[in-house]
Formats: sequence, C-alpha cells, structure tokens
Amino acid sequence: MSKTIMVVDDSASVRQVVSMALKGAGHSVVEAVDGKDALQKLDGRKIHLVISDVNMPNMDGITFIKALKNQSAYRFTPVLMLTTESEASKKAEGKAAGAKAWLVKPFKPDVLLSAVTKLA
Amino acid sequence: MTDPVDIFREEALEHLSNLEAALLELEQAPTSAEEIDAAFRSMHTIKGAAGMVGFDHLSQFTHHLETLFDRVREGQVELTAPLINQILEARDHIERLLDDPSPSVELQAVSAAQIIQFTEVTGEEHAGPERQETGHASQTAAGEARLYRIDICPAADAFRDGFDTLPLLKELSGLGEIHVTTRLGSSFDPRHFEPETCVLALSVALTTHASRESIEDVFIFVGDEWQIDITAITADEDCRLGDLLVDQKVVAPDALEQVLEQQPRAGELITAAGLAAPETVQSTLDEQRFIREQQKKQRKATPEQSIKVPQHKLDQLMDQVGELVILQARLEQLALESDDERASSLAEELSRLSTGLRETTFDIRMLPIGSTFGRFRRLVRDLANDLGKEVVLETEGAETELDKVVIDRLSDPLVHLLRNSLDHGIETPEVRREKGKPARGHLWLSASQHQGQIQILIRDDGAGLDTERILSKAIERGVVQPGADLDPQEIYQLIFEAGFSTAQTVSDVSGRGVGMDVVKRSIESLQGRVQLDSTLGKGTEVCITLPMTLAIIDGLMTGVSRERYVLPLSTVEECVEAVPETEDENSGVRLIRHRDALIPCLRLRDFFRVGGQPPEIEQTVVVRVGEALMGITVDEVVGHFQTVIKSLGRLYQGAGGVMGATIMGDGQIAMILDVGELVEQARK
Amino acid sequence: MDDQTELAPMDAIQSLQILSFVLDEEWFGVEISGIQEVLEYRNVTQVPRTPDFMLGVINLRGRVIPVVDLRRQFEMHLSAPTVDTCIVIIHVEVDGENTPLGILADRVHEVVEIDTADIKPPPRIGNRIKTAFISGIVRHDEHFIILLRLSKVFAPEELDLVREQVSQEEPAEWDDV
Repeated sequence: MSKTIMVVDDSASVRQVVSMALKGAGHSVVEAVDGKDALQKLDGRKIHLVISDVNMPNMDGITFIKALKNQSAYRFTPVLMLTTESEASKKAEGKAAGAKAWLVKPFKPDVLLSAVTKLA
Repeated sequence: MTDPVDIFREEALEHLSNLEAALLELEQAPTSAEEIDAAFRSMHTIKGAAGMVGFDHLSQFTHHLETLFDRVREGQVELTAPLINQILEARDHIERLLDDPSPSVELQAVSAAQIIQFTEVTGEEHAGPERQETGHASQTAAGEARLYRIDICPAADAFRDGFDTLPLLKELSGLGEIHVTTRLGSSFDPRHFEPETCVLALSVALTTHASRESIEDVFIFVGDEWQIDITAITADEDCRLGDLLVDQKVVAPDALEQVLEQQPRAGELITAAGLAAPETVQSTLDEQRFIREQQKKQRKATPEQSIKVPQHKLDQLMDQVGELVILQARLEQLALESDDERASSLAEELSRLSTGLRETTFDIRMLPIGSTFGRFRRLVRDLANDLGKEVVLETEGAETELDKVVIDRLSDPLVHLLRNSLDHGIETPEVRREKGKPARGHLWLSASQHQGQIQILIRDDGAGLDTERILSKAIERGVVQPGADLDPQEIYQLIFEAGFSTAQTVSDVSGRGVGMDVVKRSIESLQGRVQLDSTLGKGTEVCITLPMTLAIIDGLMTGVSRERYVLPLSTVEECVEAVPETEDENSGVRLIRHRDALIPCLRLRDFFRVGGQPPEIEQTVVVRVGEALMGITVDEVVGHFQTVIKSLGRLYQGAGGVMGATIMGDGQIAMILDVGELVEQARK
Repeated sequence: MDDQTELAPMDAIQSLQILSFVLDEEWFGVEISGIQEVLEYRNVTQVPRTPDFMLGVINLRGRVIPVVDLRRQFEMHLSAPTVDTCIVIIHVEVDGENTPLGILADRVHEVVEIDTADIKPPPRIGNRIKTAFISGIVRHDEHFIILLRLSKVFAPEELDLVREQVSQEEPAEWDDV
C-alpha cells in the first residue's frame, strides 16, 4: 500500500537514495533539508512515516522529532531515525524524543524498506 | 540530475569548500566553536552520504577527519598550523577520492598514510578497515578494555514483529571483539513448534573499550519484552564452566552443586547427568575459552593501575550517590503524579544515570578480602612462635569482594578470632601428640559469597569448647543462674556475653579485656551475625555472615497502617495472602502453614504496636534466615525498591528488629527490618 | 563539645547566649553554640520497640535525625503538638560520638543573653527533674530558666536506664496526630 513518507536529511544524496528506494516501492515522498524545513512542509498533510537524520544544520533531528510530537496531528506518526555510528548516544535521546526505530548509515535499500513496512 | 552519485559529488564538493572556508578561519581563530562545528558537519555529512552511495573507502577516510574535529570540539586536540595544513591536504585528497567509488591502490595508500597521521593526533586506535565501519567513535580513546557478558533473550514475537538479532550482533561487534553462543530458550517445546516463534537465546562475550551505556544503547529500540542482561566480568572472576552454565540459567545451582560434589570433569558430568545438552556444554566451553583468552589479554595488556583515595572522599561519594538515588525516587514519584511526559522522560534518564553511577561507586568501594589475609598469615606465624605452637594458616576465597568499609571494620574482629583460636583452641605440639593429633595445628580462614551475602569461616582443629567449663564460668560470673538447663548452642552463645573469658590464665594474647562480646558487637554493627559451633577435642568453627555492602540493599517495601517497613529482599522467600493460622498450644505463638510445615508467624502490627485497624485481607511475607523460616504479617506489600540504608545513629543502637532507616520518595522515613533479629525474637 | 554551659571557667566568660524554650510551662535554656537549627514540627516516624522518650526520627535534608521528647524523660505532662511545637536540632555526644538530634519543644522563645554572674546553682531539692541534668538556673524577666546539661541527659547510663523500661512501656498517647 502506498504511503506518504517524509525524508529529512541535509545531504541531498542521502535524500536521493532514500527517495528512490521509497518511490520504487510505490510510496510518495516529501523531502526536507533540515528540521525547520520539515516542520514547514508538514503543512497539516497526512504523513505515514517520518525518516529523519540526526545531525543537521538549523534544526537537528532530535529537536525536530520533539517539535513534531508536540503537534497533535503528528503525535502518533512513527519516526525512523537515521544515525551514524558515531552518534550512539543520540539514540537514547532520539528514543526519549519519540523515535520508534533507528537505522545506521550506510544501509541497503531493502533494509530501509523492511523498516518502513514495519513502521508505516 | 537524478543519479545519487552525481548529487553526492556535487554535495561533497560544496562541503569541501565549506571545510576549506572553515579551516582558513580557524587558522586565524583556532578555537572558534562555530567554525569547528561547520568543519565537523561537513565531514560528518560526507561520511554518511558516501556510505549511502557506495563510496565506502571515502566514508571510512572521512570518518577519521570527523573524529578529529570531534576531539577538537571536545578540547582534546589543538588545531595547530601544521595540523591545519594536514587537513587541507586531506581535503584535496577527498576531492580525488570522489572520482571513483573504488579508488586505485595508490590513492588508498595515500589515505592510509594520512589516516595514520590523524590517528596519532586523536589517539584513536587504528584498526583494520572492516572494523572502522561501525561504532569506532563511541569507544573511549584510551583505557582498559573490559569484558562483558550479554545475555539476550528476544521476545517470542520478535520475528513476527520484524526484529532480527543479526543487526544487534553486528553493532556489538562494532564495539569490540565478540563471541556469540546461541541456544534454545527454556520456553522451547518441540511438541508445539512454531517456526515464527522466537525461541532463541544468545549469550555474547564482548571485549570492549566502550562504556556500559554504549552497550545498552545497542538495545535501546528492542521491544520491552526482550530480556537483556549485561554483566561486567572482572579479570579476577572465576570463569568455571559450571558457573557459566548456571549464569546462563542452563543448569540450576543446586543441581550443579550436587554434581560438583562428585568432582572432576564438570563438563562430562553435567552432560552425563542430563542437566544440559552436549551442544550447550560445548558452546559454553567455547565461551569459557574465549573469556579466558580475553582475560589473559586484559591482565597482560594492563598491569592494573590504581590510585589512592582517602576514605572520607569515598564515603562522601557514597553519601552523595545515596542522596541522588533518593532524589531520583522523589522525582520519579513527582513525574508520576504530575503525569508530565517531559518530567517522566527526565526521571527515566536520571534513573539510568544514577543506577550507573551507583554501580560504579559500589565497584570502587569493593575490594578483595585477600588484601587482609596476608597480614593474618604473618600474625599467625608470629603468634604461634610466641606461644610455642605449630600452626598452619590456610586461606581460601581471597578474591571475594566486599565493601572497603566492611573489610576495614572486619579486620579487628578477625584478628581477635584468630588469636582466640591460636590461644585457646590449638594445643601445644606435646598435647596434640598425646591426643593422637598431628603436632602441627591447622587454622582455616575462608571467605565466600552467595546470595548477596558474604560468609567468613574461621575454623581450627584445636581443643574445641568445653561446655561444662563455660557453664561453670558463666555461673561464677553471674551470667547464668546456677542450675540453668542450657543446650550446647546456648552455652556457646554465653561466650559472646560481656566480660566473659574462658582462658584459665589471662594471657597477653587474647586476654586484653576485649572478649568475644566485642567481636559480636563489631559484627552486628556491620549488619552481620556470628555463629559458633564446636566439637570437644576436634575443634571450633566460627561463621560470620555479612551483607556485601552497608549502603544500599534491594528491599521489599511493606506497609502497616501508615507506617512503611522495608525487608531486605535477600531474606524474602515469598509473599502469601491470608493464610490459615493456628496457635502453638504451649507458647501461644502464631503458626502458619507453609509448604506442608507449620512456621512461626509474627504480626508486625502487634509486635511493633502500630496503631489503627488491620485490613480484612492481610499479607504475609515468608522470610528465611539460615534454615529458619518465619512469616511476617503486614497490611500490604508495596513493592520492590532500591533502599539506601541510613543509620539510626547511636541513640537507637540496639533498637530491636530494626537495622536502619531509609528515606522514601515522598521524603518520609521507612524502617528497615532486621529480619535475623526478628526471627530470633520469634523463637523466644 | 559535651557541655554547653561549662565551656570555660565562669570568670573568663562574662555572658552566655542561650536559646530559651518551654516544656510543660517550664523554661529551659541551651547555650546556642550547640544548636544547629530550629524546625517547625513535622511528622516523626516511630522506631519500633524503643523507649517512648525517643519519639522517632525525622528526615532533615536526607539525614535521619532522632527526635526525643524530654518531657517524658523529665516526667512532665504530655500534650499533642500545636502550631507552636518546634524541633530544636542540637549536637550532643552520645557514647562518644557527636550526634545531631532533635528535642521537642512546646514553643521556642528568643535567644537571650545572660550574665554568667546571674547563674545560680540548681536547688538541691524541689526540682521536677534530676539535679544532674541541670547546670544552673538563671532569672530572666519573670521566668526562671533552667540551663540544661544535655551531655548528662544523653549519658550512656541514663540511656540504658530508659532502654530497660522499653518492654513495659505503653505506646505514646498521641500517636496519630
């Protein structure tokens, strides 16, 4: 089933890789370059899943997740965190902020898709 | 342009120019946090993205630069002019690496050379490329590698929920060297086999520099029903096969003990006795080997370094940790009452931290008791010479760890008991020969730990206690009324009475006016107890039981009216509701039925004279002290709490049935029961 | 410091500062250097099977502090705590250990400065409390203030005496306030 998934990452290539994988599986994708941008692009629309990087300029992933969870419309929207191995401690923060799962970069598209199926 | 590789190149070039700009600024102002951050982020983003588009080598290379800037950010590395030059060279190198996902051997060699330079600066271990992929930066730069055993028991629904254990193991292997053993969980039943149900149990031995938190973080997203146990294994710890099997809950401790009594080759025996499948034993043997190797490495690699810390600082630390635990409990309660999510997540975080802090602090205070054994050997040797006796001291369990404060305060009573054995127990060689004993006497001093308690045994093969002489002495001293009818145990207890000494002449060895009563009091002040057993002509054995620490215990909170009482969890057998009761015809003691036996039962409300009315249904906690079982009836059982023990102070010394107090989450005080004392009282 | 009012030779010290408080309408004084603080009355947790004069313990900033009711020790009239009831935290030596403990007071008055020359020895007879517990008596305004020797009140032999009574004692009369 097709879902609407928001991808938040400051790296254009990461966004691209993730989007391609998601679109290939039939999902529609909303891209945002950082937390601030993501909050603006939410715009009240139905989002089934948010995939967010942690370390981003302007607004980092943790702050973004917290802000997202504070909006009643997105309170129950599952969040998948993308982290790099050097941010293990962020994982706890992410969980506390409300993330449901995490993926360590780099990952293979099929790993991503199975996570998406699980969460969305 | 939709090819991710093209997008990546463009993006990377942009980051490289950001890096360059930052570096040029840093050349002027090497500590500008903003610029350091910008440089870090550019490397971080390239690293992450490179991995995603297949530029693995580049990803690994930039990892080292990212680490470098992280160290700069932490203030551990200074950005000197030569270092900035090096980074600029690295920047140019990255640009070349962008051409091809699999760079030429020459380019790889350049990478390797630069990485070495950077790792020298950061102090980061230079590991093989396959290791750099995961988790390197979460390791601390230096320090001793520690060995952990991690028991993973996934929830039965783990596979159905789409979880897999492999990524976890991969992540663990990123933290260090791992050894995995798998077995079927205890819930496995071949008659009801379901392929989708997870019956797997894993045991991972991990050697790592990473902190316990880093290991815990690996499991942060697994379901709540998973059981994850992380245990630090110290180099001193015995890693016998049997212990491992028990630890892995493959074999029940009792069953193991029985087998061990029949001695050697535990592996074969355990298998033969059908206690565990041969594969399980084999895999555990493998794990044991791995642990041994790792421990050998650890011992060799780091001749243990230590620092001396004044006692009062340790005490202060412990006090403050205790305060923190109390505060955390209060915060938790507040969060619960206020129903504020932010507060509860804060409370949860604090709880994690304070638990870790408490464990570490305990660990610091724990010392092997063997540090005092050496002193005793010398003491026994000198004393034996003075007394013209031949004595050998044998010690066992020197590695048994206990609280430093306990060890310090245990020293005097132990010296006293050893002196006693030498002075009054062990006979002169002539006397021994007459009695047909070997001329040389034996003294045993052993320490062991079980169920959170430390047991210390002092045994001699001397003359034993003469009950008649003790009794006549006691009568002479007015401790006992003439004609009293006492059993041997009761008579032995007399020597713990104040001012009692059985030595016929006051020698300068043990006749210093301090008697066994002092020993008993010292042990009791450590929340311990002393028991004595003796056989005339054969020898005497003194058994001291102590808690491992005096600061914090696991407690079961109970309530009577508005009062709260904590029972040490180590003494609790079970909690039962509304049990049928009878009365002992002779003594009027309340008895309850417990597993086909009648055991005495004490109603705390009556015993402590607590006001108010009992509820319709009371709860009874069955406790065990040694062999003795007893019921303690309370109004309600509140639950399990970490309990910080506070002394009641001098004024309340000898308060019957209470060993201390604790401060609860709401700031009120609860008494901690001295269960041993209560059992004794109930007997009377 | 084990005896607040016998710190130094009387002629060396011209005056003493004492905190005055009332127990069963009798005025008492304790030299202020032995006093840590004065608290409002708060719930005291009983320690089971201990003498009644040892009321129990309170939580003072994470420390467990015993509270005693001297009225029982002095065989005075008991009454339930009122808004004026205070707990005076003092430091005394108990069995050679400096111990903070709380004394229940019906009400606490001001700190008064008294001339050491005005301190009279305790009368030998006619006291409600043991002469040994009193270091002197001083007149202040219309009251006689009894200067307490806390070290004697909490001397081991006194404590042993009350501990022995524990098994026969009745429960406190106002347990449930």
